[in-house]
Amino acid sequence: MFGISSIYILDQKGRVLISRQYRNELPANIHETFNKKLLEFDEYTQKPVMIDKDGYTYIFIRHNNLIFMTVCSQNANCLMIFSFLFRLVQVLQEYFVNVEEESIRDNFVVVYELLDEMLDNGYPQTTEFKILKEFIKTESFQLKDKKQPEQTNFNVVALVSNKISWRREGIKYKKNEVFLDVIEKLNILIGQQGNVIKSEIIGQVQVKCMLSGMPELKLGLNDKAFFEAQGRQAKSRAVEFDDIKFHQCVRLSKFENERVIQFIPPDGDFELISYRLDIRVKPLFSVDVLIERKSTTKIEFLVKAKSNFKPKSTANNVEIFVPVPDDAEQPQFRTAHGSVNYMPEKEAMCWSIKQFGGQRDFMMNAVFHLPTIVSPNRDKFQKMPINITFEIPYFTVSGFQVRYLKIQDKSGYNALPWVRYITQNGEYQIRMN
Amino acid sequence: MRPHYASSIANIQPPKQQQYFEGNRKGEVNELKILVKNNLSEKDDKKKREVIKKVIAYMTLGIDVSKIFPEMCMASYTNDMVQKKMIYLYLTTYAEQNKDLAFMAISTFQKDCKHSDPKIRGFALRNLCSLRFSGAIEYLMPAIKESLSDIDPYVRKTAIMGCVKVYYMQPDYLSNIEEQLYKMISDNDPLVIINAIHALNEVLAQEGGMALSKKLVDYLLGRLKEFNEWGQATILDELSKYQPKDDTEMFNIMNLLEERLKHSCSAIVLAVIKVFMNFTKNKPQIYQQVITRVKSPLVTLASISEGNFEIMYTILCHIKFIASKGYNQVFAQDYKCFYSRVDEPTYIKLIKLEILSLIACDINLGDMLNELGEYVTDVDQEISKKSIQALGAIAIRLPDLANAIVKQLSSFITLQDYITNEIIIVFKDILRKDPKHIKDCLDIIQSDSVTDQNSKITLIYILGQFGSQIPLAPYILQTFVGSAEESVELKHALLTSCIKVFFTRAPEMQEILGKLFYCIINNENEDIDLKDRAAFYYRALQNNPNELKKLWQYGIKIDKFLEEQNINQEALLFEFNSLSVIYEKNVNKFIKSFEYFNNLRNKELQDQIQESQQTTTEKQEPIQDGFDNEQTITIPNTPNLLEISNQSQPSLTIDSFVLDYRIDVEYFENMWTSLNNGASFTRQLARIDIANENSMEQLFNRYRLYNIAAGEEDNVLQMYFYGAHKCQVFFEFEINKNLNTVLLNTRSELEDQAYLAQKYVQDFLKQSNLIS
Repeated sequence: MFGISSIYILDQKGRVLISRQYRNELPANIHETFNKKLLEFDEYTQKPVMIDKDGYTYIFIRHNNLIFMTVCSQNANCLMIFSFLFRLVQVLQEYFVNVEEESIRDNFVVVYELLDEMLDNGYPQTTEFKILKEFIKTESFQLKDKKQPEQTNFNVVALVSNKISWRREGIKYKKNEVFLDVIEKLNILIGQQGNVIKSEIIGQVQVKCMLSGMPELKLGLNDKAFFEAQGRQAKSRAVEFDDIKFHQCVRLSKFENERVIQFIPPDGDFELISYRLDIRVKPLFSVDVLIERKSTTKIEFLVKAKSNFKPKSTANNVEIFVPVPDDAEQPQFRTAHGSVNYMPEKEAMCWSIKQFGGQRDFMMNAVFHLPTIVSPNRDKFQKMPINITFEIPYFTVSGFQVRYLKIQDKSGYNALPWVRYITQNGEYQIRMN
Repeated sequence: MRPHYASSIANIQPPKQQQYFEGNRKGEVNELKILVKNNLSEKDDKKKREVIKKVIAYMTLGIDVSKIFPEMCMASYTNDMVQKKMIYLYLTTYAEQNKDLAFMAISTFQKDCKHSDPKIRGFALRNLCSLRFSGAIEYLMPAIKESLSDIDPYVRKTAIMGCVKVYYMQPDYLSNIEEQLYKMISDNDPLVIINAIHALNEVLAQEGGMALSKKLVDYLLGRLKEFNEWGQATILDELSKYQPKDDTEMFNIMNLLEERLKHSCSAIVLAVIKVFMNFTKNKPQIYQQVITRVKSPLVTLASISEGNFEIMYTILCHIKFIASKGYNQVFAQDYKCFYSRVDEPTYIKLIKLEILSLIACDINLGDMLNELGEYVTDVDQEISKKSIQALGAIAIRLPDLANAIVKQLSSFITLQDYITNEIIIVFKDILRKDPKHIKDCLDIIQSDSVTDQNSKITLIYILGQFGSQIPLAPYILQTFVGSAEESVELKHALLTSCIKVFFTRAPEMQEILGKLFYCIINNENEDIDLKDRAAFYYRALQNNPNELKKLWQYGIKIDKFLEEQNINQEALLFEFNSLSVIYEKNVNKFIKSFEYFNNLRNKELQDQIQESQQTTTEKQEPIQDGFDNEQTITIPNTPNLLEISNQSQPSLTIDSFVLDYRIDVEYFENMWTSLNNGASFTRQLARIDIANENSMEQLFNRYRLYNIAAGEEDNVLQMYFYGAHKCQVFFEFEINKNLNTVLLNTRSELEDQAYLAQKYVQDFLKQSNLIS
């Protein structure tokens, strides 16, 4: 493990906004070398780890119009540096909501202080926003107004060395509530014949915790391994997790031995669980596109969209992006459901349907004119996939369910748990021919 | 720093809300100095904060505000924490340049180190230790020693890091500090422990870092959960250096750590994997089990880090590393996780392709072939080429499945030229390994869509090697004979191949070969080596064709292929979870020693001092300096070498120009209006992405041409540059984004110099791909 030599916050062209040296071992103009390297490639081919001829390694991430870059001269643990940079961005977000060039400029004093407090000699120190807030009292400016949470004064020093670093003592709410959001994203790639080439569910449980004191929470899921560990017959639909990851507050050994999820939650919003299921899913939507070239200057699309989930569910804000030739013009659309927009900048048309019931199918017809001078990339659109975005509330593809959430605190108050489910598109793509 | 003049002709800075980053900075440092002085006695903390903030803003902009150092020292006697922090930041930044004055500040730091608030104690100590000049050490050591036993952990952890800072300045000051640091590992506070571990590793770097006893390992493992994620990753990393005494201990530790694989922080998961791998590296069977166990978390991290492509890339590098060490079968089932998505950056797609090519085997190849086939027709040429190469690599690694791959590649015949070009190269390797595939390759070989130079040479090689089995071989070779524009390498290959085919198909080849000999030997401008070779073969054939034939049928059998050596079991385990996995190199291949960097830095500091001395003299007589470099006209090492030597005209190189040449705006304007237009050109703009003021300025700067003014209006960027070699040259440079054109006007007192300078600019614009 080696320390980071310096951190730079740069604008997207590589100009330095703020920099901080931690170890006196870098030439002063090192960012210029980085800048030159940055110009050699575009954003997509540029690897996020680079080495220059002198042996300095540059590790960087992009966020909005900013680049957060670190330089190190030793064989560093680059995953840890990436994680740290993402954490830095997170902390900055807590301070100014929108982390971009302008907010960095407006708040340079706070940024300096944070960089001073979060790293010492290049090694990560305290990185929890709630603790850092106690060290840094300088006012910060947000680009947009956001209600400032009430500040309470408490013993900071106890905080830094506290065993439960993610929660402070003495939190009080009038009404004790906790909200669970189960969000599943479906990544699916469907071939030309409607066959599923790849499907994967990425799920997460987001928690908004508004509980007083130091409560201990116990969460029960329809986890197949749990039922088996209990020697019970699995209920109708139990989920078999391929892999599951927890927030640092969860007692991992408890889960490992008994498959029980038990934790003292941080205050406010956090991600409790993330999981991945590698199961074969039937496509929720299928889309057929029939392309007819009426003449050299006219192309017609017949798009048929069908939903395959149960009739009692409804998908909201469905948007189907169908690629069209890059030089198409004068669109004419006909459909009985929803509305269609031509998006030349995306080389696609977008068919949006506010509500799409289960087991329904809709049709849409589109005609484009094509100029007589053929664009060199005219046929490229057939290689591009159809993209779909949607949201289906009260529904999880995997069948994931929260069976119970028990909340216990010394003071013995009653707390209300709320659970919501939603399925969203991840990377939902259908290949055209 | 940007030249100050830039803003006087055209102000290109966008307006900012905050006043700190606005306005003309010239001469303002002095104003600021007065401002700070006047406000020192100010009672209102808010006002003082604003003034100090302004100083820091200037510092952030890269303006040298070291002049205000004494005033800032005075201002440091404040009780306002916000001010203190800013002032300390200032002092630590400029202390190195103001050694004499920095002593003034030290007393404040010392006083604060004894403050009642632990936050201030720790903060002051941290900054005190950052004052990097040798004189400070005497004051430093007592403060550090005292703070190491402070009652507050925040101060203790800071003091430990202070030790490391001192170590790099004067190692001898720290005698016996190790003992104390070891003691501090049993501290109550996790951050103190972690910092002590870091410190020991740096101080004892030469002995291989901190020493780990069984007791220490048990202790750290027991407290592991108290640490934050960085701390846990640090301890795990430490643990990976430890060697358990026996299997029982090893399994105990591993069982204890297994749950950590479920942690959401990827750095911890990878650190655990590293421990497992290091523990079991000498026990192949358990090692295999470990790899199988950690596969799932790795694959999850690679797909969950959605959006965070940087983390995804790092994880993929590690997966590739494991797969390339002989454990490719472990990932065989998960091949679908390595399919690319449209919106992923190219570097992710490329590494996924490499992984796919590594893990391909009979159970997944069917599906994978279809998917890779999709990538071959990708709009991105780089992806397309890489996927063809991936298919080729699979065919070579799995001879039993090669047939299907060759057939699939052959089916791409009707597609773009660049695809055919790449396929030919891949076919060559497959055929070298296993010539029996030749009949499936015929369609592509005999198509006439090979356009690229390299691919042509490869094609000629294939024709020569397998001439007897390719019906059209002589006639394809014939098309190359006598063609004037081909390269020397190609002609060499052609000569070899023609002779090879001649031995198997003499009647068809005789005339073609004869023509080739004629073309080469009678061409006066031909390469001398090629001529020699041709003449040699010609005479040998005349003399005794059978002897030559015998010589050619050497028939070396290849039994080991370079491609196969990629997969070997030898593991560079200690380096797992570090940069060496990303670079695929051993540590000592890319990491240089601390001394190396230190020298580099010292040299730079000296250069800076020299430079600043030079510029003061240079400024007075800028033009005369130009003649010093008069003689250094050399031919640059660029692809244009041939062209330049043909012209037999001197050309300009970067060394011809005077470094950091400076003139002022007025002078430029006078010269520009008084001179005639010397040379100009207009070209098509090839890369819009770098066509902005900033990158252009940098580009020109790199070639020692300097910006004097710039402005952008209605998508037309106009910039003025100047430089000096034998004489001064001035440029007007314009990028018109509406028309996509680049225009350059060059003026100089000597007209031929204007022409040369223009060519010089044109060359480097071409090199940077701005124009084609």
